[in-house]
Amino acid sequence: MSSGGTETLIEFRNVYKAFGEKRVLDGVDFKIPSGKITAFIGKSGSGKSVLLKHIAGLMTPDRGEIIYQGDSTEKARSSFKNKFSYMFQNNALLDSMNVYDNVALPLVEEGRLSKSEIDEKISNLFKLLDILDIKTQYTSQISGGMQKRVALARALITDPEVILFDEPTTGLDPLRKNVVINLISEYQLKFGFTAVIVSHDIPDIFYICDHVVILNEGKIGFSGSPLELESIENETIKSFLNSQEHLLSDLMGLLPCLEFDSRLKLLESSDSYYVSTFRVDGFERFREKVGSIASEKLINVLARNFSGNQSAVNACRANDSSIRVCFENRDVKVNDKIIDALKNDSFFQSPSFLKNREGVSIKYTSNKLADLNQELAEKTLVKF
Amino acid sequence: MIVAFGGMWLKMIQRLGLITVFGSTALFRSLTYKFSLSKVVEQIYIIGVKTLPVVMLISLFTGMVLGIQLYLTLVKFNSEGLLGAAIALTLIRELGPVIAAIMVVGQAGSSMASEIGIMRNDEQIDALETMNIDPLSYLVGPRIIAAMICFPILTAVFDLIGIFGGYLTGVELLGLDPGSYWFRVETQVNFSDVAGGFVKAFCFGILTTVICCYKGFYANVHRGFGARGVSDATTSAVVMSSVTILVADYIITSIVL
Repeated sequence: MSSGGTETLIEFRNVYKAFGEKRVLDGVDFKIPSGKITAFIGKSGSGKSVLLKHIAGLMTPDRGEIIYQGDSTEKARSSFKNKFSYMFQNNALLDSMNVYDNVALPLVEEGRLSKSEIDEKISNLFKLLDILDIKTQYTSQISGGMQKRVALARALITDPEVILFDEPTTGLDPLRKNVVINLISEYQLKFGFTAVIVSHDIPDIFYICDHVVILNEGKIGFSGSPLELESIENETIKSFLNSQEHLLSDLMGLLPCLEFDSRLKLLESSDSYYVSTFRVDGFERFREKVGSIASEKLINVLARNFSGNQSAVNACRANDSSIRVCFENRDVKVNDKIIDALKNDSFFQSPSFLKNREGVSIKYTSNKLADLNQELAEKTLVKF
Repeated sequence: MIVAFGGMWLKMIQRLGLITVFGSTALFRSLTYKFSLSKVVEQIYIIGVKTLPVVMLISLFTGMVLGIQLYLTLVKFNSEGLLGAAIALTLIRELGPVIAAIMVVGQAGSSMASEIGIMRNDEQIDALETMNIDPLSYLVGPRIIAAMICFPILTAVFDLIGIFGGYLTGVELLGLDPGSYWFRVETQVNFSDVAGGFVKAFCFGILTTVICCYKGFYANVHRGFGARGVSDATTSAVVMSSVTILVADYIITSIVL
């Protein structure tokens, strides 16, 4: 009973779950290794939380088996219930209790520790999570981010063998998000529990997890290590993983590269298209000087001027410093209008650009669509 | 139509069975697993102490109305001397347990259903389960035990103040002899009348609390999640409890008498 040399804690075998007509889990098969961090990623509404609730026993599958340490019986499920804690997506804190009582509740009900031991344990955890000063407040009196940390404290307080985290960092600022991710990783290393995390924090979550499961439209799109995930060629998964890049491209009016390439394939039969690549030479140095936001504005200028041109069919972000544009019927080198418009862009008159423009130039190549593989020498469009 | 009618009855019987299993499981678990006196005391405060002012007010006016109505009826037969007995027996046997129970349902039962319904809605009940805390013994059991204690006490308060209310109108307002009023109360009310009233109150306490908790606990199952689900569950809990009180009253009266 192992998964990649590690003991399997939980196994899903052909699990189906539907709510009315909507099929949320559609024949799901995967294994969760023991003592590791497993991350579930996928689009919103793809069934990640439902999957987590199946693991916790809060939902039962319509069909299929969930096997706990090799045993699918009710007894195995019941005994597993004593070993895990769950951090809910909406925190699920008891609103009739204050923060301290919420976190103390599982320990008080368990009745194993004395009041002073519970006090000490909670104080240590509260200090770590920076929530010591809100312990007497009711959950409705604290912010969403604080509620998240209180929920995390409640999940960690019983030192469970398995912790299920449902979007533990949603609603947190970047600093606190890093603290929570680090805390999960640190605690997991220290206590060796099995962590199952549903998260949208790509790529941050990959740095701490050992195993990744991607859920796509109710099916498992991928199950393996983060390194294996990097080399996968599946377009849907790639597009999801590159979603942040996509967002940036969308904001600039650019297509994802895969989509750009597939659209070019549709135009291949025609002889009247050109594909130009515009590259900012000296981009890295410029970024170091002005920071990533200002340097992205430089790419935005290229996108605005070239992909926004009337003769442009579509465009994509080729890499950090360049964009590719497909033009119809004319070669960009003969279009002085475009070059003039670019030179007169207000960004190039801004103090931050004027101060740091040394070594920056915009270079380009332009191929006929039919000769796309032909390597041409780069020409300088504008030198600053 | 026959199929639909039969289906409706079957569904009702099935739901009754579910409520019975729910209530008995909650009571059994709270008594056997982790009995918490502090939670029971907290619920006694909510069900008993907080409802007491309303029960006292309603019982006073009920007794006063009874005093006027019964006096005007009895005087036609020259039997106004029996007013004390008539008021006391009516209150102790019937009106006391029934009206007190309906008042408690309106005050505490609705709050039980909505509180537990909101907990279900916000996944707080799921959270209890994941903390290995049995939601039935944690949330429902103490409420049932508290209701078993509070309903008879509130009924006793209702009866006493109601009889006093009857005294105010019958004696102070309409001029009946006070000695005659209290003498009839003392001689006509037996222990079996009082015990019968308490049995009713005890049963109403269990029935209404189980119904209100059940409706809240499964607010999402019957009505769906959200504010509408909770509000529907609360309304349904109050209506079903009130109807149950009257039906159960008839059944218990038939058995006791």
